[in-house]
Amino acid sequence: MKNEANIVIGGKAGDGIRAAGEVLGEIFNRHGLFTFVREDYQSLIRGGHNYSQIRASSDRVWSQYSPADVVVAMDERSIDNHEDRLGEDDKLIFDSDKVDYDGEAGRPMPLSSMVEKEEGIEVMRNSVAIGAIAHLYGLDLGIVEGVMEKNYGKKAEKNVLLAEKGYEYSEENFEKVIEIEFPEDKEIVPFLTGNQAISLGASKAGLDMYIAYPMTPSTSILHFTANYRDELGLTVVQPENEIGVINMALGSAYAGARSMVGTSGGGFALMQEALSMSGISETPLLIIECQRAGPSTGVPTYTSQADLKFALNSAHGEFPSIVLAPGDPAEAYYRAGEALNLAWIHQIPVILLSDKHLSESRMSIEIDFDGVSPEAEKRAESPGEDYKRYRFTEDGISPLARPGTSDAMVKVTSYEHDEYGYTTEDPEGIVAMQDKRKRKWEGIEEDVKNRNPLKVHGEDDSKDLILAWGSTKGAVLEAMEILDFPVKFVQPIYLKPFPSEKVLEHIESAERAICVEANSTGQLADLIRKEVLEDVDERILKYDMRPFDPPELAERLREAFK
Amino acid sequence: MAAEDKFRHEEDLFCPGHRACPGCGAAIACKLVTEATGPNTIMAMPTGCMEVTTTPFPESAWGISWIHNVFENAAAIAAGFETAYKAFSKRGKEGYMDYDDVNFVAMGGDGATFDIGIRSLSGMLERGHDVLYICYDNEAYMNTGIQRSGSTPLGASTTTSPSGKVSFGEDVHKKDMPRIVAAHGVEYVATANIAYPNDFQDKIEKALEIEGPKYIQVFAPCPRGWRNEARDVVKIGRLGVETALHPIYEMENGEITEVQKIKERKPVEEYLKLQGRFKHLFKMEGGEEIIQEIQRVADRNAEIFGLDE
Repeated sequence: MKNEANIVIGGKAGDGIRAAGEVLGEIFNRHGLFTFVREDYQSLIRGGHNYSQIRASSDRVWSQYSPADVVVAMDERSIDNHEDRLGEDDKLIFDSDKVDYDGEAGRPMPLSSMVEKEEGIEVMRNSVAIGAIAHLYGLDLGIVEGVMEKNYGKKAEKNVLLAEKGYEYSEENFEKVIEIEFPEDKEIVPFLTGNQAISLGASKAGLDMYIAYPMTPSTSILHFTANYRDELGLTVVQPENEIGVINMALGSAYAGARSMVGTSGGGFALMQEALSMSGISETPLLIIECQRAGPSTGVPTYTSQADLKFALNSAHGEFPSIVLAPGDPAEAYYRAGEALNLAWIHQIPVILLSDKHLSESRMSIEIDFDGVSPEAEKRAESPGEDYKRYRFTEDGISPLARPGTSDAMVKVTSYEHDEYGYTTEDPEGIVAMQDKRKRKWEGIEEDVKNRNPLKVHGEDDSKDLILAWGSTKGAVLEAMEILDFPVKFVQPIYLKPFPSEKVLEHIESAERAICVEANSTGQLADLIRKEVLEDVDERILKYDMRPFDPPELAERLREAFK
Repeated sequence: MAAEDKFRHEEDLFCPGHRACPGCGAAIACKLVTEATGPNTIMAMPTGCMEVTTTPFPESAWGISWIHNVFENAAAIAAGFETAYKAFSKRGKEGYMDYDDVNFVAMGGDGATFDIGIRSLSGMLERGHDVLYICYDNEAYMNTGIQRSGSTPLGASTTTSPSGKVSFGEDVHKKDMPRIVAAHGVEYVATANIAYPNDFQDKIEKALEIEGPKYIQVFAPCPRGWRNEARDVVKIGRLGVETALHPIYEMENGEITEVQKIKERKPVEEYLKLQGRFKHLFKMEGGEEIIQEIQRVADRNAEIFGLDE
């Protein structure tokens, strides 16, 4: 048996399911195990069905995993929805005060009365369950206590007590699932979500302002940055809508502040006009687009990779921009910092694509926090009154000045303009300015080329090639572990400019090339066809808005490579 | 009405079984609205708690024609169907009810009204559509996790205006939305409160008699976001009025024409202390000053509206 734990906790919204996932994940992480936690919740406030999937292993984990060895059911629906995850000898813990269940896996626990006896409140059933799980896997109660104290503050005491009661009950009534071996003297690695990593990475690269309007799944960036604004040295603003958001960011960037906005597809749609303004005015901006299931409101708390073409083709008119998509929290950290630097170096809008699965799932991952630092932009030394904001230069990049400093007069307009920023309709002047912006492309392509725009995983000599982007990376890496033949996996991190030469080399040396994407048409596959004039052999697509699950994906890959 | 009839739901147009929290003020408002508007109503509702909690199949709560559009657009959608009806009615297009027999209603939360939707609301008001716009005001974005809105009052702690060592929560005053609406030349603007259902329903009926745009803002406490006991919802609603923090009044053509008088005005502390979102004000250094500032808001309301009996 693998030295691994796979747990599902299910209940209604309001049952503390997300909190339980977070706390359990942190407990496993502090035991030195690689941990992954996925939250599945519906767009409602009370009721319905939520669940957390917790996976922990001494081997590296990249994804949730559909089979479970323990399911905790706070209500009947959780039993119905998850009992088929269990195999022989697996356990289904249920609140015997609320539900009857006589399946073989059933392990009744009077969660409600245990909470009542200690004068707790109903939501604390999750702590009793955490205690029971601690026993089932032989976890250290001291660590359970530590994590609860950190996460629950003053309310920790009662939760810790209930966890102890849960542990005792489980010890008396249930046999252990597995005595997990904990790696000794292993350094505890960070355990964080993609959104937390984005916030930290951008801050490390010199972010001054974060501006956003609440929209799942980007909202946790707003919460995180608001909460830690002093520690991160940020100003955080929540304006009246996404139009207000992006225009405020244009204003703050104009004033000289490194600025970032975050949203999801619907909010990004509202930002389009201002994005074009960023393009013509060469006002740098970092936009975090956390994709969710569209079109329109769609399935708002679920994941999707369907906004790639939208991001690549966003806004009206022609201007240089960058689109990139990290695949895990470590990449999110480095690439968010890199994206902020690139926006300011090249004075362009940069769009970083995430999605619900990356933004909100938590995982253990090593991060070199010094791997990001602010890279200087080109600044005008003594701009003065005669300052040309759009001075023609060889590389197309004009030195920046801050309005209100060194007597600088900084003229910026949404109209086509001359070097001073004055409006022009003169044909030659228009062409000259269009050409200046176009010249920046060369520098951008060169710059991105030197920043590892794509990653190669697996067997470099394999003729079986997988191409995937963004959060799908995790499921692909895990599926590769399940497959009994070697494959190569190429992950483009930059989608614009696209690493065409490299991608073409890999496709040409492969016998079969397969794209794996969480959308219904195969947007990366289309992009590849456009950029390298090659079709991939097959598209493995998933658009039930749930992330790929490794065993299922492995099966589809096996079929596809046959 | 016999007691047992009060608990029958066959005729309800806003049906039980929706997913709002126990004690939800906004859900009470929806029930009161549909009772007053009746079945000949088309409603537009933007994103928000009431949209999220009333629509997941099979628990759809609405017994009237109802359309959801994304956050900023309820007033525009309502303006659209109202205009179409008007045009069809004029042309005698078959199959449509008479324009005058249909109530066109848009109903949104404070975020959708004060913040993201104010542009489409302003346009609808300015163009003079025959739409009743009802704002259920629970003073923050609740279904996305309690973020501040333009309606969040001074001193309230939300996830994006958190209280802490140096922060006392929301640092600016609530936007005076009814006055903004009235400034559009809207004939009828009123405030209401779920704790006073008859008054609210009378106002809806009165508003529907008026041709053109009209606006009612109904105060709807939120146990989840305000961190209060569900059983205190009506009590908090009443205290909102009795402290003069949330006066009930009518404005016709920009003039205040009717106010609900207060016999003995209560200090704002009585209202604040029932709500966890103001808890820090009673504990932190400088909290008292914020409470005094909130008291000044109440005093000013009492003066402007002539609330004291």
